[in-house]
Amino acid sequence: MISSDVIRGYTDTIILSLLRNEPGYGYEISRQISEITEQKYVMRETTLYSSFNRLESNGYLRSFYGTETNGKRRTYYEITPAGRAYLEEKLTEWELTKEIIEKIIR
Amino acid sequence: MDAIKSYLENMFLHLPKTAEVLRAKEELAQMMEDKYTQLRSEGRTDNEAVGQVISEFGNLEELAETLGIPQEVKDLDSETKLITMTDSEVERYLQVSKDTGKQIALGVAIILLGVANLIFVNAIADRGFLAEKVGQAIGVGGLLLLIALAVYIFIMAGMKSEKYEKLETTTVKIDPYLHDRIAQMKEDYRPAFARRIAGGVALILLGVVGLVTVAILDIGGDFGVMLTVVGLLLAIGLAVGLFISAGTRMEAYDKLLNEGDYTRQHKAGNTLAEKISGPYWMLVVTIYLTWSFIRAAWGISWIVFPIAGVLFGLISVVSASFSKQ
Repeated sequence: MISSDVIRGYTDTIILSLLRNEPGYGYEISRQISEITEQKYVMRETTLYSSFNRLESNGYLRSFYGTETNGKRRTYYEITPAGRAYLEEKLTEWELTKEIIEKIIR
Repeated sequence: MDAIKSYLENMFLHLPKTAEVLRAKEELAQMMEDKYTQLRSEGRTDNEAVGQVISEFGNLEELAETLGIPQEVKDLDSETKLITMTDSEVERYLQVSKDTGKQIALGVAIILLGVANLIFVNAIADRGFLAEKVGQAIGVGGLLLLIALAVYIFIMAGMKSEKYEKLETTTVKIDPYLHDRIAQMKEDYRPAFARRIAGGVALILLGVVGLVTVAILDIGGDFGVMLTVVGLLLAIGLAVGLFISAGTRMEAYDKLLNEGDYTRQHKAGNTLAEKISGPYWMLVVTIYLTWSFIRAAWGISWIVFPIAGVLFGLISVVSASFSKQ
């Protein structure tokens, strides 16, 4: 299990990128992260919710209620144009970060 | 699934109930439920699924900043105003409070027995079965002796429960599972508690009805009345014993759970009634003894206690309604 400290700075980026194509709800995001990383990283519920909350108050996400087929009400999150711009910025930053770290430690 | 719900309940127990916090709780509950359902559908047992969901939940500190919970509240929660108790400490505390509850009940009953004895001896002295001086000596001497015994019991009980005193003014933080277990114990005790309170009230009513009946029908004259007063006092002694032992046990649960009269708010501000109760009862005892000795009014001076009791109840109610405003 990876130390979450390293990933923490990229939690928002991870969530925005997973919502890039379509809206999603809490557990869906969490499951996608576990599946994509083959369980090497499990995002904690509190981390996930803190991030949703932060992104929404910054205007990068918008939330709405959706009703499942079984009648259960769920909160869905959708990326906003500002969120897309922020994501692009963070992705560029990540490329640069990766390059710098690689250069130094190799 | 219930285990997950109560886990979350307990995590949020001490947080302010703002819209932000409630929303977070609802969202987290939804995520946890989804994860649980998913794990179950993958063939995990209930225990396994609950265990994984809880272990992957995270921690509240992380939420605190995003939820806008003021720093002071966090500090309050994490340090000065909290007592953390383990399983065995809770176990020991419950045992001690059960024991001291019984001891205090016994002490009160002993004093009432002394008063009953005083009246009884006076009554038979009046009837001529006993010389008046001898009767007074036995009555007053016995009462003082029994008061001394009761005070000794009170002090012993007080010493034992002293180290738990801060539970009355400080919020208790215990493991969520332990919290559930105590809540269950409290629920289990509730019927017995109700029976004891009802039983005590019935005993007192029986004594009062007996006294009134004897007085109205004039059975046995003054002697009859005095004997039923003795009976009433014994009934009150028994009833008070029931009230105190049952009440202490219930209070112990409330203190641990921060419920009833021991919620965070109550614990933070001691009520006026609590502050004055010590000096108040000392004053009452002083009045009782002074009046009794100076006027040799042992036969009637006990009336100070019921009056003082009712007055104290009045003070508590009035001060409570003032502090609510």
